[in-house]
Amino acid sequence: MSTTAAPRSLAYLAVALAVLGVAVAGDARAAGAATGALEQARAAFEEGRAAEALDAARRAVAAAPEAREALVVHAAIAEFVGELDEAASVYGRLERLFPDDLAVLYRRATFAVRVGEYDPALRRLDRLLAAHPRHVRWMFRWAPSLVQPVLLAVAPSLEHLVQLKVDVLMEKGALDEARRLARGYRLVEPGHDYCSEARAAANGRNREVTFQAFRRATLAQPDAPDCLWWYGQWLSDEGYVRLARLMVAEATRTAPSAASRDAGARYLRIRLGGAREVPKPAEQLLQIARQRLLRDGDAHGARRLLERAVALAPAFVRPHAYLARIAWDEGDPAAALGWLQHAVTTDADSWRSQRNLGRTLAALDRHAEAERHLRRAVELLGDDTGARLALARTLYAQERFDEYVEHTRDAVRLAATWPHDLTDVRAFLTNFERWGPSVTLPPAPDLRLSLGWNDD
Amino acid sequence: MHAVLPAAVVVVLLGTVALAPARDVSPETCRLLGVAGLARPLPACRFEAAAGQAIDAGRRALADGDLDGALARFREAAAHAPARVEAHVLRGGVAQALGGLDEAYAAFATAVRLAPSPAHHVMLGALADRLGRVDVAVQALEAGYGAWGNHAFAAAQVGAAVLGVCVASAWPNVPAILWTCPAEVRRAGERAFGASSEEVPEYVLRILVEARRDGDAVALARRRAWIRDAGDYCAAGEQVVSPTTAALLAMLLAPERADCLVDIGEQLADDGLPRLARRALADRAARAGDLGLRARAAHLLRHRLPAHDVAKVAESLNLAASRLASRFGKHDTALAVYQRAIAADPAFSWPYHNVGRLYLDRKDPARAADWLRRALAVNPHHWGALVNLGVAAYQLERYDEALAAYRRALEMEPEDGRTHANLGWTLLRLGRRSEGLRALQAGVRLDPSLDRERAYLDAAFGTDVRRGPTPFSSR
Repeated sequence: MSTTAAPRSLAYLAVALAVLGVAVAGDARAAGAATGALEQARAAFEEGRAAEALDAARRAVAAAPEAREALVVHAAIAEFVGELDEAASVYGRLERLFPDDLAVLYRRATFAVRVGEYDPALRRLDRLLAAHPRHVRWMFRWAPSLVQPVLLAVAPSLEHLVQLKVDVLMEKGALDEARRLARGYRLVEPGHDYCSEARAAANGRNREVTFQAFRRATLAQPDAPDCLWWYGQWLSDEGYVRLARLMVAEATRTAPSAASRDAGARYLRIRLGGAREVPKPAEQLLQIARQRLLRDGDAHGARRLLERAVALAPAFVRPHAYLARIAWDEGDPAAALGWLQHAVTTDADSWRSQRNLGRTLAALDRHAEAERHLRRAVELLGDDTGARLALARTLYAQERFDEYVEHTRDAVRLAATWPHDLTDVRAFLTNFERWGPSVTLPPAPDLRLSLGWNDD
Repeated sequence: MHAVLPAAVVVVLLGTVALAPARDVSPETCRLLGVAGLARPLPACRFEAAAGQAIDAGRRALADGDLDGALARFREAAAHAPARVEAHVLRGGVAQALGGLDEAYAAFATAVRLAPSPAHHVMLGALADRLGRVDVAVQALEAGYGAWGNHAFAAAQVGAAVLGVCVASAWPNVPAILWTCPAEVRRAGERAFGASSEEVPEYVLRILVEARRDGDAVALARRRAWIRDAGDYCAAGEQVVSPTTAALLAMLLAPERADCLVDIGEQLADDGLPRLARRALADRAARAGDLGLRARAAHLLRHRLPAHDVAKVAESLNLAASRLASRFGKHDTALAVYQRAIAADPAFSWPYHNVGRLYLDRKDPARAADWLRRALAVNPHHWGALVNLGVAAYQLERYDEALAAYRRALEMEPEDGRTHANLGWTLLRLGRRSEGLRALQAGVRLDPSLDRERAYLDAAFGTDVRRGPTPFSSR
């Protein structure tokens, strides 16, 4: 808890300035009738009432259909809440009305990435880079490392744009080109062992450091497939399914041993949907819905986006899990089961879907059905201590005590390599072995797994 | 002829020795006598030598951050050699830093008497201002405006630097160098000359405005040719005066177009100058054309400033103590100076608050909370004291008290991201996780620089992809 402040994130500022700063300046005053609505949009956005902010922004545009600021705010909020079609339409209008406006160009470029239009996004980013003075670009590219911090302080947007371009190229599958660009702009230094640094960072708890380290290793060291593999797993937990698949696939392709190649192929199959393609808008809708649900507590808005993601990509099972969670939280277990069963039907090899369905059925005391799915989850990922404990519990509930003991012992053995506290589990097992069955069911805590297996 | 000259020199030297009073001999005279081998027997020059040693020792103490030691040495030097201006100037400077305003005033007054240079007049004027002696301050500062040559030299230095940068950045484009650099140098030089020559008069204007001598202030502005016929002082065009002076001129001469004064008032408050800030914000709270700005000025007046016109000495001592603590790390001395500020104006809540902050820095939240409560007893609307009381209570694990303080602070400043974040951490400590996360979320939304809170939320919910569509752009 400190008492000082200093602005930092350019990405956040891009959103915040579009919605907050711009709304109270410039044309907003000239727009007259739009001003009040823009003010309301600003206030609602600031207070986290995004849907209300979007309504107000729509009213502002209705009052002043060609006012740049009203359109920027409308598009930015629509994008922020995941109304991608609406945002696309407003951005299109903005670009027609203000073709040379750099701020509009930047927002249009990032939006294009959001909906998977990689080549148009790259063209816009190139235009933005070209808008910087020639000598700044030259120095950014060729000046010695010593000068770079000064240069970045003078033109921070340059680095941001190049980094964004690198991300886009990677996501587009042009990994070699992304690496060339990163080397060309000195985002990574030749001969530097980022991979070792990344391994060290992964042991710490700073997510930012871990992310940056693995990303640099991916860009700088094509000969380090294990780092590529770790970056893919990190992205998988973050919800970047498309990029994660590309990274893991590349790591699998370049892995030196057959065992590594098998592990990579298995990860792609049971964690990333195998060969099922996920369109970028569907991935984004899921990620935005997740934030609306978890950060904003907006279950209604999240459900709409998730349903849209399912409609766009029926084979993409991650949204099903969130839809099930919303239904469960709303006291509708049948609907929750419906979503999870649909996920398992769509992708029987989805370890997460099997696990979720098994645990949900167990929570409804439908142990025999739960056992089938939990057993499948454990088959798919033997290291999943939480699923194994849940399986042991369902077996106990069915009075198949020998199997309960066997799976619980396996789970305890697995957990020994982790700093997991299974005191309750061990105590229950000891009591069972000494006194026989109890009237209560054994505990089955859901334990965190290694990187790449925890979040959808 | 050849024999007469040395004899005359000897006579002059002997005369000097004979006539010199015990201590009142200038260093130059002692140097002259030293060349002739006559300084040693002269008591005044022995004192001069001791003064020189004391000044050297004082400078060393100053370099080591030992302000008290330095002051003692400079006092010693001034006592040994009362005619040595340097000793008085140094003594005054250090005494002022330590909050000894009366001693500093006496030292600078002596320096002015001995060597009435513009620089010494400015020192004396500034000190008189800090003591609230407006007439003396204005009189002294008016004698400190400085000669044309000094300002021209300052302008030439800036011009040379700009020429260097301009040539380096345009090289090897010689036509561009010839075309653009002279104009840039001229513009920079003019600005530097203006800044140098108007700095002291602008200070006088601030003193006059603070003292509510508006007629004198306007007369000064007229004499310095600061008056703009269009009255557009708040416009961001080329002006010879600083934005603060321009805003004050707007208040005096074009009050219907003086809304830039709100930002300036807030800045003055942040700079520890509540008297002038109060004057500015009270004016806008009453007269701002824009109703929103009028409300903001009233809000700042209520929550960021004391409820009354504080005593000038109290304001000065509070500022001196604050610099002692932050710039020199002299916490104990600062505490003593804060106590003197409180004695000068017991209703001024800032020194109580600053003592509280000092104890927070010293990891003594119990004492901090005590002083912060005193600040709030004096001024219940003191927003900063309320926030820091929350911090102290949190550190003391009195989460309910922290919660109450943060909630009240947010009623005063609903858009302060850091307070939302602090409220969030407190709620998390109280086990109210969903409320806590919501408050952290609000904090991060309002203040993007809250890295720790953002990292916590990202760990709980994943990176907020709404910030950008790719891994890099979303952070």
